[in-house]
Amino acid sequence: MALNFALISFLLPLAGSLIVTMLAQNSRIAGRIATLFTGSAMISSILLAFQSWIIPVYAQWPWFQTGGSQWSVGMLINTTSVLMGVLVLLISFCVHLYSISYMKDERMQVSYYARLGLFTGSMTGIVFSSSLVQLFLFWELVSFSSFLLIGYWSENPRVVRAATSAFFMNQIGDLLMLSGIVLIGIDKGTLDLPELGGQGTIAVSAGLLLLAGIMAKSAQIPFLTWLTNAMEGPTPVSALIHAATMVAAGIYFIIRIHTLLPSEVLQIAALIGSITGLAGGLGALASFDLKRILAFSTISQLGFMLLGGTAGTPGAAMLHLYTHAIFKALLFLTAGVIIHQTNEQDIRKIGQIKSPLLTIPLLMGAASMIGLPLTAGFISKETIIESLHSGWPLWSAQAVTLLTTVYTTRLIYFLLAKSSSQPTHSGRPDAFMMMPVAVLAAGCLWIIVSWSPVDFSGSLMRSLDQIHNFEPGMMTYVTLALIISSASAAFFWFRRQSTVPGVNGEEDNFGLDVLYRNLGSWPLMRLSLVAEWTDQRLINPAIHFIAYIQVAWALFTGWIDKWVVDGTITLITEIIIVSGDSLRMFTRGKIQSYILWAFLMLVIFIIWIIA
Amino acid sequence: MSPDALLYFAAWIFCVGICLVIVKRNTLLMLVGTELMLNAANVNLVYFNSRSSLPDGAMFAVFVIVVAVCEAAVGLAIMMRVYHFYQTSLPDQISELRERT
Amino acid sequence: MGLLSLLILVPVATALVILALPQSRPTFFRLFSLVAVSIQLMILGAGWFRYNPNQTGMQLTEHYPWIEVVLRQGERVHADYLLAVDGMSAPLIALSVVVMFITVVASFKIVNKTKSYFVLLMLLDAAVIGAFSALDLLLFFLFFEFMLLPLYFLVGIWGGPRREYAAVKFFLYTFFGSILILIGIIVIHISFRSPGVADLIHTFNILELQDQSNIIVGSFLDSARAYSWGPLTARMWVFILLFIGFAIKLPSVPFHTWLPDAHVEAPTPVSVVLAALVLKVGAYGIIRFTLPIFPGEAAASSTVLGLFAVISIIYGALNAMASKDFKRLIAYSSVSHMGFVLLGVASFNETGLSGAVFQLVSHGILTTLLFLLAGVLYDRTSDRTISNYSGLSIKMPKYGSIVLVTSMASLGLPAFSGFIAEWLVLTGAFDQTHLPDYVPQWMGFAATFGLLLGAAYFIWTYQRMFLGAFGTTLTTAKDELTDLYSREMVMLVPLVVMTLLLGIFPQTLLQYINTFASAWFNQVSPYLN
Repeated sequence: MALNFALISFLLPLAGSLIVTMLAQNSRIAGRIATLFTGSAMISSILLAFQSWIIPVYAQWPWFQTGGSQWSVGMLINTTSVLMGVLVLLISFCVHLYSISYMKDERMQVSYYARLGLFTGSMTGIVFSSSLVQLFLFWELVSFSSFLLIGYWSENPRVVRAATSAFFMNQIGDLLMLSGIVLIGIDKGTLDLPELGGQGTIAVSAGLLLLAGIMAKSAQIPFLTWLTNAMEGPTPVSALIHAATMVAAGIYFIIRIHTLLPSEVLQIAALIGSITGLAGGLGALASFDLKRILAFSTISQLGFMLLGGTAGTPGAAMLHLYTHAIFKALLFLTAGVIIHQTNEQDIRKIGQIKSPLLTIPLLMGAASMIGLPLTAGFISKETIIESLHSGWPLWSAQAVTLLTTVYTTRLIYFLLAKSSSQPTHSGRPDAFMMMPVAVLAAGCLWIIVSWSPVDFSGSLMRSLDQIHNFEPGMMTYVTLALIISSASAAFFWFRRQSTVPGVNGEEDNFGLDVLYRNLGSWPLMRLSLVAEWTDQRLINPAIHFIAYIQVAWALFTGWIDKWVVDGTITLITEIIIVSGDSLRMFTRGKIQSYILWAFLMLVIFIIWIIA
Repeated sequence: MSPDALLYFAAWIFCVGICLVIVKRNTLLMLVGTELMLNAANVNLVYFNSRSSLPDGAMFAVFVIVVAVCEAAVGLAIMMRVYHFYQTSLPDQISELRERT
Repeated sequence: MGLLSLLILVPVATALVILALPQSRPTFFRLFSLVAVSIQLMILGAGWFRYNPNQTGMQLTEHYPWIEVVLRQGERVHADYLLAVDGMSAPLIALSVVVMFITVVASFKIVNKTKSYFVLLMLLDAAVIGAFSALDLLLFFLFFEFMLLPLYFLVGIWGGPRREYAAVKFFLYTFFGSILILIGIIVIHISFRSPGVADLIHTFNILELQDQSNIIVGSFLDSARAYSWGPLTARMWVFILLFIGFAIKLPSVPFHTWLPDAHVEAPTPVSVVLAALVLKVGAYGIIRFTLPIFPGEAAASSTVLGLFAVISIIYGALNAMASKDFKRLIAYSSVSHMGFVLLGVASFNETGLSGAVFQLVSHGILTTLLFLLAGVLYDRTSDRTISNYSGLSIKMPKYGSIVLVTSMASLGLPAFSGFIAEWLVLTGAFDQTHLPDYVPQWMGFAATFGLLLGAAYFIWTYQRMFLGAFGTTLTTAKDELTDLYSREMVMLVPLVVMTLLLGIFPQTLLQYINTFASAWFNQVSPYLN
């Protein structure tokens, strides 16, 4: 039964995607149909959660095989995957609802919902995959659907470039991950997660390759540019893909395979997570574009999750993934409403938002992100901090917390407290947009994580990771103090300055875009031109040279045939002709020469007779 | 005088006759040369007749003289006709008996 | 009459019928050709039922004596008419029949000299199927050569602006390869004998040639004698000759330069046949004939083979990236993908070989798609320059989405057949745990890099041509860029469905290939040290 729920929850969105494509492009009901499918899938996943929260289910079917090896597909249903499944489908459902209103004026409705459905189905596929082959299949499909979704407004060259760079950067990670998976399969003889779990850790090289894939998918350093550039896509897409689900897939994956990774890999991952957390925070601090701030914030939070999952406890990271998905999606959707209403994305120009329909969700989302008490974010963040041992992971986590607080305060200040010259807030957002926002805002409260706002070992966490008991400890109070003090300091700072000194020039992603172009695409283009040159100027002329030698040889042979072989014949005939001509002298017609020669011949004859 | 001197003499006359025939640029003189050659043969015949008991040599010589006379007459007649036809007595110009190119 | 002979005979008979018809009615030629390939499809269906995928060895065998020449007392030269299929050739023949059907449909747009065109196409059809089913080396060589001449004319008469150059280059280059193969065949022939008979009968039968005990003692190829010309043994020389001959057709870098010219200049249906079928015969020749007769030499040179493979993959991909002509890009991507086939073969394990054969079928489908798609554009505007187009998916949405799907499938996106093939080849290349290092591990990584390059040029090209604002530098073309017709959809959609199905249910094909791969591996493994 549980199996059926799981299968339904990932097949329904795909089916919906397929069915929607049969409608006309500007159909009005495409969105509603897609939402229906996704909603049913969400319900199915919730039912699944009720069934399989404690008792895992594992099913496996053979997929393909060759002589010596076999690869299978299956479903691995346990607490983590069920939680993730509900999360993905919930957020996808909210985004679908939201899109019905947000995207209602778009021309290519069917295309949008088909792509959304493809993405949702693929993402859910990753969640429930039990074998690494299968997971890779859906992983790549997620890359592909993100390309489709980011590039939705395909007439805009910036959008197109963002989409291609997203796909390509993901593909780099994906292919490295592919090598890692293949190596694991060869090394361990199987790719099924349950079977791998009992076999100890994988090789460090394979682990690093998998980590590369995770880094690309979750936009860690050095792959973070695709995420900030992906903000060119529609805001609901950003909410779904870049806040909650796709980028979280990397974190989800590392949580899944945590026990398989050797400690060196985990340490490197933690390091990368902390660097990314800091870089993302700095980027958010320097940006003025609303979506860009949120994108950098996501990058920073993902780094935080990675750090927590590898240096701390995977369960804590999963918890934070969960809460982050909710509050980040909330912030994105609210941002979408703001952008829709004001047609403006620069926080300096948006002006003061007064409508409580917007301010309340913003404040709740921000509070959860900062980690104020009574929010879910508070619980998950502190759980991570508590799980980190002392040392550099802890300090970087605190630094990330600090940065988070500062940039979030800055954002809130600009949006809510600072007035600007052009407030053109038009219209009320309609129900379709506000319902998901309301749901997600409610999700920022502590209740969804644990009954008690201060007990970290609430019902959710206990199910995720039964090893540790989390109580608010020393670190929690330190963090709280940090948060409050930095928030107030930031508030007063940003009254006068719009940004922090020294953090600037991030508009081009810390110059990484240019760097990648110079390091990556330009050498690649030159290399391809070298290859073309080799083909056109080296190999082809070599072939032509052989052909020319052939022709030259043929000409030479022809010459010999004409002048030497034939020439011999001609020589003989010439001799004959010449001698004939000379003999013709004897027939000149002169009588006396006739007589002379006749007489001479006679004399010679007589002499010959006599001698 | 050695008996061979006569033979040498006949040979010498014969050569002169040949040279006349070959070299001279007058058809009549070619006939003269022919006569000389006949006479040289005659000298030979007479000499060998004198050395032999048989009268064959002398008889032959008489025949030769007669033939020479007839031949001279005919030859002259031919030369007259040739001269009449070709309007020249230069042998070089009587050269129609040759290869037509 | 056996099924295979029927499969070969139907197009030949159709060619003769077409020859007899008057020239003025092109519809007749199209109709007859369509009937011919439909009959072939039906025969294929019948054969599919009769063929048992789990049975090792040759099936649907037809064996008739053909040539017999007495050299001297007790020594004969013998060649048979021997056709049969097994797990590798059966899918390839199926692919050939399907591709030929689509080619005939695509050939409906040829308007001048249609009679000669269809005659040549039918002959090509027969030759390709014959090449895949012949098990007698001489018969195989006959069909192999028979493929060249129709292609020479098809490219040289109905092709693009540089068609004469391309046709001559193609013909001479591949013919040169055939000569090398012929030398090899002759040496093999005089060194092998048929078992079980008292007389010394030289054989061309591949089944007998695979058994090394059939080598005549003291002949060129007798390993005990170790006859050598110069630095290498005769066995190695013949292996090299055969390999280079087939590698020219594969095509493997550096023997590949005939391919871009031939493909670009050929008309669309001919490009399809060239890429989807003729290239496969090269790989087929290596797997079926070269490797089983010379397993030891092949194993010894596996690293070199792998090197050729990796160079083909990366060099082909780089050249594809540099191409300014859409069809040239596809041609070079074929070079790159066939490099994967060679890599799978060079790995010398079952997974790699299964992957190589799977890639043959998958690439056959995908390259048919790609060339048909290139043809769609060329039919409308006669211009294939990539930089002349932008934002095409706005005006031609169906076309754009099929191009996107095909590009994704070609670069190895999972859920399509290309992924399975590349997965298997990569696993085979990396899998050096059970055998000594035939293919060093860096080659697996290099192949993965090749996949990345593939993603790069396909995505970049799709982006340049189909995304962005609509525009074209060809002023006359704006109205001609219409979306796909039903005839084109009929050709394209089934192929997309096929590659999707193979990607999701690969075992349907792999069950055939695996029997072959296991048998091949069992036969070759004693020689792998």
